[in-house]
Amino acid sequence: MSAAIVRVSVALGACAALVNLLVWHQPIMEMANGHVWAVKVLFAIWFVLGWGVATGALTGLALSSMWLRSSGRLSAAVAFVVGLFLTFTVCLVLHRFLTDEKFMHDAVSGQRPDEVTSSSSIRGMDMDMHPGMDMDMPSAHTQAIGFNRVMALTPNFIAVALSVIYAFGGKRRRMRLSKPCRC
Amino acid sequence: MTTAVANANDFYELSPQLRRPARTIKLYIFLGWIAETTFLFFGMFMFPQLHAPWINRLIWTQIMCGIGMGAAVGALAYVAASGFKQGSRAALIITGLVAGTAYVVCGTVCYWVDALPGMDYWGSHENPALFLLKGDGGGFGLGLIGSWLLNTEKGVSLLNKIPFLR
Repeated sequence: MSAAIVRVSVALGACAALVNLLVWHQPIMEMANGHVWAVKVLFAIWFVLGWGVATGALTGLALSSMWLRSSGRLSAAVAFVVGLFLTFTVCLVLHRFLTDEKFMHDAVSGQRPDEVTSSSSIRGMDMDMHPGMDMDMPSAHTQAIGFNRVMALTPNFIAVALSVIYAFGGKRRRMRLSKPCRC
Repeated sequence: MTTAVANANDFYELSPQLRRPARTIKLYIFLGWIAETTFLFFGMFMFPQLHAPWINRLIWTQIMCGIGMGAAVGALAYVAASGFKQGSRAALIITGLVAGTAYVVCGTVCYWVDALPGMDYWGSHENPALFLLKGDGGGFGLGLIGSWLLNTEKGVSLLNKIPFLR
């Protein structure tokens, strides 16, 4: 059962990430725009791993731990809150990385944002160093602003809720309560 | 399989099979977190000129790269190898390959981000071979180490000594 909870949570998390990738394709893939298709594929896989599989795994971990302790309503509520907290933490960090240029600079740039002359410098300068990049590539994060936080987190909220229902739903609860004693 | 103990009320002693998913995910989170923290400090030592602000980099490397990617790799490795008995040769190979490949994807994206103009946070411009070695080579090695720990007698006895990975 513990294994099934993890599998279902991971599958639901991955679905949530795929929904986001389809709906917000342009702002999410902004960073990889203008690069060769291999980079786009790798970036999309990385996004699904981070936004979906990671959050699903963390939710599954929280749910299975709670389920093994108790299958009551209180446990379900606690598992839901913990699962949501872990999911939202990872998603919000990733969302901020994709939408907040200062955060992205601080996180993965060797220079302070004020040292970089303009936002376009991230992708605009030294274009000849990267032959895979198109010259008409848009500037960073211009469209990422449209990547609404509340809307982006909705599929993950639904995924966590469905995982909790699966783990603590009536049938599973009865299954756990009727476990044979192997004393 | 769960075995109930003397008081069958709420406390269950878990079989290794029941602990397997949580153990796999927790192990890869632990390994990923150690690797990311090491890379962070090693990078600061090797390329001190590339490290300016602290807090956002710490948030990114610890939450997203360490915990997030570790959990994703652990989940993928578990799902891929769950059809095989823990400790079998097939489980050992599949867990190692899937986890290693997932880390390589992650490391390659990391290298590509670092190589973008204006980025360069871990020396991909100064020393690309070192970056690829730590990202792809180290990542694949981490996947194999995790698989060895989960699927061999020596590895499991080592894990049993770590309280939260028991």
